[in-house]
Order: sequence, then structure tokens, then C-alpha cells
Amino acid sequence: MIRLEQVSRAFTEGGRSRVVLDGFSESVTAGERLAVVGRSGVGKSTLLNLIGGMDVPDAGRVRVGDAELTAMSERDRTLFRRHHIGFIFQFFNLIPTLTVGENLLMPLEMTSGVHRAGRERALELLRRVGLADRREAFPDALSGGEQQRIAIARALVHAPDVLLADEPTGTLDGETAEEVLALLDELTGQGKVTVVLVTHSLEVAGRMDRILRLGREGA
Amino acid sequence: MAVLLPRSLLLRASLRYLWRHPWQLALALLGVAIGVAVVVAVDLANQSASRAFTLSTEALTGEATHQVVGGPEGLPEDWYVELRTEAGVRPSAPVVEGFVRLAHEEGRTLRILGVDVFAEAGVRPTLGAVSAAVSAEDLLARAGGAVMLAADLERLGLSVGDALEVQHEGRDHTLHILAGLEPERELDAVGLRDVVVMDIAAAQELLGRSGRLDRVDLVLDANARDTVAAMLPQGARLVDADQRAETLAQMTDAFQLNLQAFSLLALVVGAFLIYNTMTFSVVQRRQLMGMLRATGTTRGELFRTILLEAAVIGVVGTIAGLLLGMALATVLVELVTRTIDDLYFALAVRELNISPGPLVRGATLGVGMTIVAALAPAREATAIPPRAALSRSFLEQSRRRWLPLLAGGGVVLGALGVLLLALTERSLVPAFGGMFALILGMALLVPPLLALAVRGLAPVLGAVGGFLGRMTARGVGASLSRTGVAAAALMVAVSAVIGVGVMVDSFRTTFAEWLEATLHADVYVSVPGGGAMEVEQRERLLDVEGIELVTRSRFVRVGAGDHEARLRVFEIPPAAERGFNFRAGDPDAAWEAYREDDAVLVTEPYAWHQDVGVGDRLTLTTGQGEREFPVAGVVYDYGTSEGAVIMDRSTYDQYWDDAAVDSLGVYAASGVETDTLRERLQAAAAGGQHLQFQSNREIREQSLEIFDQTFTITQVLRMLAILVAVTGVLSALLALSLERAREYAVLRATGVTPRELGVLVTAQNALVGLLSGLFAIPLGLGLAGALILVINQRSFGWSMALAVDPWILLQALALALLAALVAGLYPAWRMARIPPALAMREE
Repeated sequence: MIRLEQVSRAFTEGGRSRVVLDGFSESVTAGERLAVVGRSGVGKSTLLNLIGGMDVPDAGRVRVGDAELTAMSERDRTLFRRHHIGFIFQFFNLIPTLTVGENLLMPLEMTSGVHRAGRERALELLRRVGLADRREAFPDALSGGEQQRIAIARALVHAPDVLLADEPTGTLDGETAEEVLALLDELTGQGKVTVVLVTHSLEVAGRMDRILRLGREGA
Repeated sequence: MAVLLPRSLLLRASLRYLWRHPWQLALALLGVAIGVAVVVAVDLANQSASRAFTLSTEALTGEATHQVVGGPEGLPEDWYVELRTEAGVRPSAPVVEGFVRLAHEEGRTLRILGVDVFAEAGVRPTLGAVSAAVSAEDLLARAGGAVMLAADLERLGLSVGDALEVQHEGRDHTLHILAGLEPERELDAVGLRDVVVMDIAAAQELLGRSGRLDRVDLVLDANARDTVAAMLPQGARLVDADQRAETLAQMTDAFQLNLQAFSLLALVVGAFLIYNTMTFSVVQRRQLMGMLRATGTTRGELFRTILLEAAVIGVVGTIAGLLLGMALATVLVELVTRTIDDLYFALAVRELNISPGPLVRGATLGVGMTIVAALAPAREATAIPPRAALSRSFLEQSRRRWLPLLAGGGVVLGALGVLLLALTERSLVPAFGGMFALILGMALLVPPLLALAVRGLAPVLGAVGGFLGRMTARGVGASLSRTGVAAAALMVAVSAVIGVGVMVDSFRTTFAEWLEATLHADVYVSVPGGGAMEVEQRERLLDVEGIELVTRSRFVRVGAGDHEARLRVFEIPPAAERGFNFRAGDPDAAWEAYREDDAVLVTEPYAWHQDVGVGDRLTLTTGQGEREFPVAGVVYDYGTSEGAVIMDRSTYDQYWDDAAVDSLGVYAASGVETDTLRERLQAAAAGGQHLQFQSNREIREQSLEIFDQTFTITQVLRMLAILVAVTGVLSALLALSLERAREYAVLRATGVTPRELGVLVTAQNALVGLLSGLFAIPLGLGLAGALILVINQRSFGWSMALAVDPWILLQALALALLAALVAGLYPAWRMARIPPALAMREE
């Protein structure tokens, strides 16, 4: 499903080049849920950016399904992301000027358009995340846990092939984090979607199918 | 002092923040700089014009305390001899004065000052330089002998010994340059600019005033004053020299006050910009400030840090503004001089006079306004609780709670403005105060109106543009603290464009209609540059075939109590009476009194400035001494803002011994074409005094051209206000975009293309521009009403009909939209290129 072949990426900081990924290769099979762990600065977020087409490697190839992201233009990568990728951010990143319901409908509107089936799926997801009664509220009226539950629903509403999650529980307290992870298990488990999740927590990583430790070898 | 100043590290962090946000800093500096520049430039231009006027008056009046001024006929030379020899009044210096045109340079005039160098001692020290440069004998001996400033000679490409060809009253004359003056005092260098000093006899010959003087300048004590007053010839007046100059200078006061009010408008718009920048810099650092509060920084220290930051921006922006203002003033001084030339009197201002007054005023306004504009953001900084990050939505919510208060304040201020405009009578200051209150009131209303408008528009835009449409409307409404200020700044500038545009257009329409109604004759004959027509020429013209009627006009200045009035002497055929529209008085009765009972008409500005009306009696100094003339009517007239008295030729001939004619109105006989008549008149005048022959259409066109020229300065200031507003909107939109960068990055990460994002940001900018333009229309029309019905009326005494051309409103709307779009180009471009990975980063 996801293949990274000999991928290298370096950043220039203060006039000096810092290599984050150097000839890195990895594969994730369809429906697999991969946790990426490692120290800060080893390239976890860079990896997510490369898989999501938000960044391109200096060398090597990135393939997601049949699409080779490294051969695409910026615009094509954006459109690919629109249809095939869902994102969950550490800071939720809901659009503050759209209501909860509208935040959820946004990916649908950008892909297939908001049809009846889409509305029903959005409502169903809202029910599953337990926030159906808050769909007219604006994000700033929600707690952090509630916002992240909406963010998970938004990431999945257009049925993406890949879900990328960057520290989804990083800013939540233990109890809320547990609720969010349980929800994530329920919505993505049993091969429903391929997941790449970046985390610092081994406990969170342990809930995934496989753990990739960055910064040990080859990376 | 150490207690009042923030700690040095705090200050360093604060200044470093500004340094690291160069765009934001540059826009704030630009806002202050342009605002200050406009104020300083207008002030400097006004001051330069006033100073040139004062210096020229001082230099040419010298030590004289009084002047004896002749009427249209002048003073008899014998009287001066009697004054000097028999009454022994000295120092006393006779003057013959007039203007000549340069033969080789179209439109340029020089002032001829004919003096008796032997009598000058103790009256005009300025002319001491003349005695030093050329002997009195030489000046007397050479016919047409003339002395000028060496600098003027250089400008004209002349040297001592050269001949200078000039024209006076349509006749060619040759002057001979005897010397170039290089006065030491600045007063003389400015005062003698464009002045040709001649011996009085030579000047009399040149100006056609043999045996007559224009005035005698005197240094008198109280006793001598009484002696002179007792021996004044008929038609002459004894006036206080200072008072005469003051009356002349006061004429331009209203014009200069108008310019100053306009320049302040630019500064007000600039203040919006500063407020915006400072608020943005506080909002952006709310986390840092929360942290500083947690680590022990007091509210007071934060407050002072922000104010100090504002002061730094204010000082640097003001310095740039002062420099820019000086550069801008060199352009404006020319426009101001041209307008004063067109409206009031000839003025020779060649360079800018940089005096400390306008610079100090500009600096105080610039720095002061910046600090005042930063007070609210500084208070906001102190409200940030320790450690807690004040969320943007919290900030917006707290702002929303202010909306009813803003709306209330806006209505109260607006009402106060209307009251000030409506309830005061003559003074201009409360009228301008009322106008500014109206502007500020409407500016306060903009955020609540904007909130209402976007709430109403959200469903419509959502239906049209989907979630991007909804985001467009909501984005504007959700950031009212930013969009509200940008919209208010743009609204104020655009309303000024509408207000001034409608005013100028109404004025132009009224002026054109007045010209159309007043100019009845087919061909007007006059002397180029003004002056009397020679009798022989007039007689030749009267003999031309195809003339039905000829009317004579004479334009003179006569004493009218404490002032000098323009007197227009007309022969008005009954058919032309309908061209005069009466503001006061019954036209039929007025015309009868005008023709039969020595009554006069006064123009509207004259009635306003001198506070006279129908039924009053006007005391004029005639050739037979002071006489009273009843005022039979007040007529609309846009020829001069000073105003004039209109008198029938037969009445004039009765009281003044002056047969001169300045202009003829020639009516073609039935079946004779205007062009044919003109050709015949030109043929008849060939070889004699130079005359100009203009059809009424040509005069109309020429007058409208001068009208447009006069308003150039208004257009320039209008554009400057727009420039400040565009900078303000750019700053606000950039701030808004930067604040929402993360939100846009999320959109990019979830698959919104750069193009779509660019469309979203541009649509938001367009919405702000369009709504600002719509809000500007009612205020603009209100300002036009205030300018036409109150400001113009009180400044110049002109009344005019309010004519609203929908095209002006459409243009203003387009301008607002364009300004917002232009200002939004960079933010839109920048946001469209935002890296989607930004969404991953920590806030």
C-alpha cells in the first residue's frame, strides 16, 4: 500500500544541512496500522509529510497505492491527498469559522460533493464519536477531547485509503486520551483503513499492529 | 524614570519582535509616515504661500504705517506735491503700480513698481539696494530703465544692458535692464521677486497713468494722520497699511483651513493603521506575554513596553514622514500658489520655505497619534492572564460584546456631528468638528454593520460557493477586530472620495450653468492680461458692420468702509437680466432700482463676507467722496470668492470720472454668424492695441479649465487619503492572513489547492472592500451635503445645488473593491503558498 524506497531528506538550518532521513526504505501493507516512534528530530513528522504528499524527498521514491507521489506535480499531490488521505493533527486544527457539522462535511464537499449518503455518513460518524448533539456548535465551544473526536471523524468521513495521525493524544489528559484511542481503534481496526501514527508513547504505539522505531538503523 | 521604563530585556525582546516582523513594521511605519507627510506637506505649502505673501507685502510697504489709496482714477500727482511741500508730510513715497506680461513667455507676468527714489528714504528700506546698484540719475535718464533681482534676470536669461520686451494693456513696450539687485536680507530677496523697479515717471508712461499715482505710502503719527485725512482728494482713502495687508491675507484663510482639514483626514486614516498594527503585534504575542506575566512581569511593565514600542514606531515613522512631507510640499506649494493665483491674487512663490512650525506640529501629531492609537492594544496586553493563552476566539467574543456599545457610540457621535453642522452659523471650526464627528461616528458603526452584513450574507455565499463561500463570510465576521478596523479605514477614505467628488461635481455643474446663463453676448473683446481698452480701438470696433448691440464693462476696486470692494460696472440689456439669479430680493423691483435709483446688486459671497443684505446701504468711496448705495438684490455668482458689487454703468459715470472700458460684449445682428462678426472685429482692430476676441463658448471652456486646475490640489489630497487607506487595508489583511496561516495550512493539508485557497482569501478581501464601499456611500453623501451646504457656504459664501451623479458612487464602490483587492494581492499570494506541513507544527 505504502512504499518508501531509498528516501532521503535534509533540511538547511542556520546555513548548515541536517540530514533527517538518509536512504530510508519501508513498506506498509493495506489495512495495516503502523506506529512510528523515536526521539524528537529523527524524522517522524517528515515521514508523515512525505506519505501525505505535503513534502517531497531529495532522493528516493514514495508510492501510495498505485500513485507515485514523487512523480506528481504539487497540484496533483494536493488532489491525491484530498481523495485518499485523512489527517489527524496533534492540535485538532478544526476550522474555527465552520460549525462542527460543516467541518465534517468539508472533505466530502471537496471530493464527491455533499449528497444524501454523505450527510448520513457524517451524521453516523458524529453519533459514533458521541457528539451528534453538538453539530451546530463552533469548535471553540468544545473541549480538547471533543475537538479531537471531531477531527477523527473529519479525517475518516470521505473514506480515505490512508489515515495519517500526528501525536493524536499528545495534548490530552490520560482519561480523554484513552477515550480517543478507543474511538480510533473502533473506527480503523480490522483492516478498515491503513494507518500511520506518530507518537512518543509506547503505550499508544502498542495498540497498533506494528511499531517502527526511527533513529535506530537506516534512518 | 527607572520605575517607569520597562526592564531592558523586556524592551529588547519587544524591539526584536518588531525587527523579526519586517513587513508588519514597514506597514506601520508607512502608515505613520504617509499620514504625517500629508499633514506636514499641506502645512508647509500653506506657510510658504503665506510667508511669501507677508514678505512681499512687508518689502513693498516697508516702514509705511498708512497708505493713501486712489480710486479707479488714481491720485492726482499735484496732490502729492501739495502733501509733501505745503503740508510737509514726510516720509512719504508715491507709487505707481501695475502688471505687465512678458512678450516671449505666455502667461508670465511681472509687477511694475514705479517709485521716486529720492522720496524712498525712511519708507522702503528694501529699495536701498536699488540706490546702491544704480544711480538715481541713470534711473531717471534712461526711458524704460528698469532694475530687477539678479536671480530673476538669470531666470529670464537676461543680463544688465539687455532689453526686455513686455506688453501692457495690449501695447508692446521695451524695458532696459540697468542693474541686477542682490539684496542681503531674505525679506528683500523674496519681496522683490518678479518685481521690476522703475522711476515713477517711466512707470506712469508704461502703465498709461500720466499725472496720476496709485497710492502714497506714509509714515504717520496721530497728528500727521489727521492732517492727511483732512486734505484727502475726492475718491481717495487713508488706510492703515497693516490692516490692508491683513484683509488681503484673510481672504485665503478659509481655503488654507480647508486644505488642513483634508490633511488631518489622512492622519486619522493613518491612526487606524497604527491601531491595527499594534493590536496585531499584541495578539500575536499573547502566549509570550502570558508567559512573561507568569514569570513576574507586571501589568504596568507590559503596558509601558507596548507604549514604548509604539513610540519607537511613531518616532521613526514621523521622521520618515517629515522627510517625505518636505518632498511632497514642493509639489503642493505650486498647486496652492496656483489656486491662490486663480482665486485671490497674484503670488510669487518659487521655493518651499521650511519653517520649524509645521515640522513640530507634524512630529507632535505623528508621535502623539501613534501613542493614542496604541493605548487600547496596550491595555489589551495587560488583560492577558499569566500562563494562560488567551484564545483568539475569546478575544473575538470579548470584542463582540463591544458591538452594541460601538453602535451606540457611533449613533451618538454622528448625531453630535449633525448638530454641530446644523446649529452653528458662521464659524468654520465647529463645522469641521461636526464633519469629523460624523466620520468617526460612522467609523464606529462599521464593525457592528459588518457583523450584521456577513451574518446575512453567509447563507447566500454558502449556497453559491459551498464551504469556501461560507468560510468567506464567516472568516470576515469571525475576525471583526481585524476586518472591522480595515473596513472602517477604507470606508473613511472612500467616503471622502465620494464627498469631495460629489461636491466638486455639484460645484462644476452649478458653475457651468451660471456661465451659460450669464454670458449672453456673442463675442467678448478685452485686453490680454487685463486693463483698459484704448478709446480709438473701441470706436473702430463700434463701427463694424453686423453689430446689434455693444455693452461696456469696467472692473475696478473701490473703498467700501473698512475694506476694498471689487466693483463690476455693467451695462446689462434687459434680455440679459434673466441670466442673473437672485438669492435675495425681488428681481423686478431690484432691476428697476438698479437702473433708476442708483441701487447696486451684490454677489452672494460679498453678501456673506460683508454681512450685507437687501435693503442695506453700502458706503463706497466714489470720485465725489463717500456715497451710500442701496442694495437691491443678492445674486448668485461664482466669478470670485471674494465677492463683488455690481453697478450700472450710468450710475458709475455719475459718481466717478472714469470713462475707461475693460471689456466689450458684442451682440451680432440677426443673420450674422459669430465667426463672421469676430473676423470683422479682428480686422477692424488690426494694427492697434492688442485685443483678444472670445466667443462665449470659448470663455466658458476656458473658465471650466481654470476651475478644474483650481481643484487639482483637492484631487491630489483625495488620492493621498486613498493611499493611506490602501496601506491600512494591506496591513490589516496581511495581519489577518498571518493569524489564520495555520487554519489555511489545515485546508491545504486536507486537499484544498493553492488556487482555491487564493480564491478564498481574495473573496474575503473583496467582501471587505465591497461592504466598505457600500457603507461609504451614505457617509460620502452626508459629507458632500456638509461640504456643499455648510463648509463651502461658510468658507466662500457660495451656495450650490447638490447634484449626485450615480457614476461617482459606482466609481467609489469600484475603488473600494479595487483597493481591497490590490491590498489583498500579496496576502492572498502568500497564503496560497503556505506549506501544508505548517498544520503539523506546534502552535
